[in-house]
Amino acid sequence: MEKKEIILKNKLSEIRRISEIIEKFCENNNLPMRILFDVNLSLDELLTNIIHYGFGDEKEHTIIVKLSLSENILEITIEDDGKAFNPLNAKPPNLDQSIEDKPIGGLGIYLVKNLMTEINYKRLKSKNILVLTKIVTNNLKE
Amino acid sequence: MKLKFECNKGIQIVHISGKLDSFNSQEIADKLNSQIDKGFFNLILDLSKVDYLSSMGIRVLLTLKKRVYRLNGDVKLSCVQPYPLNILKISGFLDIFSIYDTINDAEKSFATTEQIEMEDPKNIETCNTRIGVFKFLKRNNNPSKIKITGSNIDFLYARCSEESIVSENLSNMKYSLGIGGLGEKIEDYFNCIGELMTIAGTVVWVPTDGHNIPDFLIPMNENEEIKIHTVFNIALDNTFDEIVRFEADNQKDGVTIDAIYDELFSISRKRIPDFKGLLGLVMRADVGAIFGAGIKRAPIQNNTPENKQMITHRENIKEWLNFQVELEHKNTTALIVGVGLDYPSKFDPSQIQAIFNTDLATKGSKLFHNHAAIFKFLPEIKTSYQLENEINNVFKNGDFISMQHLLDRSTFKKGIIGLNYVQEII
Repeated sequence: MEKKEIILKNKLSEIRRISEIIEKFCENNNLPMRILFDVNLSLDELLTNIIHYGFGDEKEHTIIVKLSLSENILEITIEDDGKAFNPLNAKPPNLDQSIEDKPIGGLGIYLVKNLMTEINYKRLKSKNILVLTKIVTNNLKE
Repeated sequence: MKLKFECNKGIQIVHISGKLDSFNSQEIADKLNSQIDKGFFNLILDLSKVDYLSSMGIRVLLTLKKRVYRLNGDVKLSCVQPYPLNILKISGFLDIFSIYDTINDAEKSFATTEQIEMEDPKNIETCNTRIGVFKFLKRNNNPSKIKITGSNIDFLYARCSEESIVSENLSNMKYSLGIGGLGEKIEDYFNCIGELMTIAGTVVWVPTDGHNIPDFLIPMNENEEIKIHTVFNIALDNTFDEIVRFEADNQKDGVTIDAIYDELFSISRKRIPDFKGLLGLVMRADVGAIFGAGIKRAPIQNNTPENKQMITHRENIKEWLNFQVELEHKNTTALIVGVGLDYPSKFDPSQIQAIFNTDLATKGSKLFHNHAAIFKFLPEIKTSYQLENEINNVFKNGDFISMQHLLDRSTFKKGIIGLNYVQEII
């Protein structure tokens, strides 16, 4: 069992920092590039959302990201003390529209849902807790 | 994140290296927008060094595409790497962006007539005729086919039954003309089957329900399989042997469709060694005027004429067919799908019968069968050989007027033609 906890501030530049940490984590645990990309993209989408819309003030906040890997299950937990927001309730984008009508909202979360094996959300003690699960395979099509 | 700009023949090529993520997206958006401000509306983004794309990156690409689209330009992507490609696919953006394997392919897709002709005049062959100029751009060398389904006999005697219906995936019938209908259940369309055509994958159908109002069906996404149901149908290949630009000498009235076919026949006999006398044609044309006809009733068993003669028999024709008495739809735009048979041809009389149901062909007559969708006049986007682009633009921006079986006296001033030298009827 491999574990890691990362504490981030609510600044966009922190996404860069965590992506480098994830890269090391994946390298140390011999995880395929594909997993690294999927995890980084998911964190990019979710953290961008939290940092942009999660906090109704200008204050500094802390976002905690925990990684754990056991066997072939990678679990990522994101905790923030922002407004209650369950991304699983976000409306899926309509993928069939023509270019002029194509909206962009909801796309990030739609991608995360597609890239991760499972997503769970709970609100606990004024915190949003989002748990992403990814089964690690070497299958490129997965 | 680095952006390198290179301008080639009015097209701005942008080499991007780095991540297209939320961190970088604003900077990239600003830099790309400044190119549009400078007047570059045609851009190619070289993504060979971009291995990461997030929804913010997609947002940048989409906003850019929307902006240049309104300025009649386009953004094309080249060398998209596997991971970003997969993200575009998952998010449903694959068919929104034009994606090319190489920068060169992307550049070619922008090329206008003049550019193609200047770049490689060897590719273009010009033929001056007594009615106007034809310019041929070679495309592929696969032998072309025409696929016939159903029976024109049952149709012409109005004795089609539910068993006569052949259902086929639209993707196999990108360009076709026939008699049929659209709908999930047979009872939805069987009693009002009528003239139907498919053009670049869009279906136009005029139900014979007395309203004479066409139905349109534009598939929004290529994964969706749509069935079309016909009792008789002629399908051309999805690709063309050559793309031809035609311009009539008489720009006031244009020239008749049979004269255009006639010239194409005699040019084909000179240029194409294995020409068998049968042409498949798709044309986006500036119309002089239209002479049309249409079927009024569904050619089904319930409606079989009492005299058991064909619906074109003199006693039946009035009841069955709408004939235009005068030239109509002057100076409009038309999308045409058709076939033309020269005399003599190398096909069996029985095969010819299956298309035209007449023995006139063996008696020295040339035969034509064309359907046209007619729109209010819409100029071409640019003078090019990009037939499918132009057709899609007509569907997107044109005001539809009607769909008809074309009579040979209809006239046209100019057009882009997709031509198939048919080698086989199946």
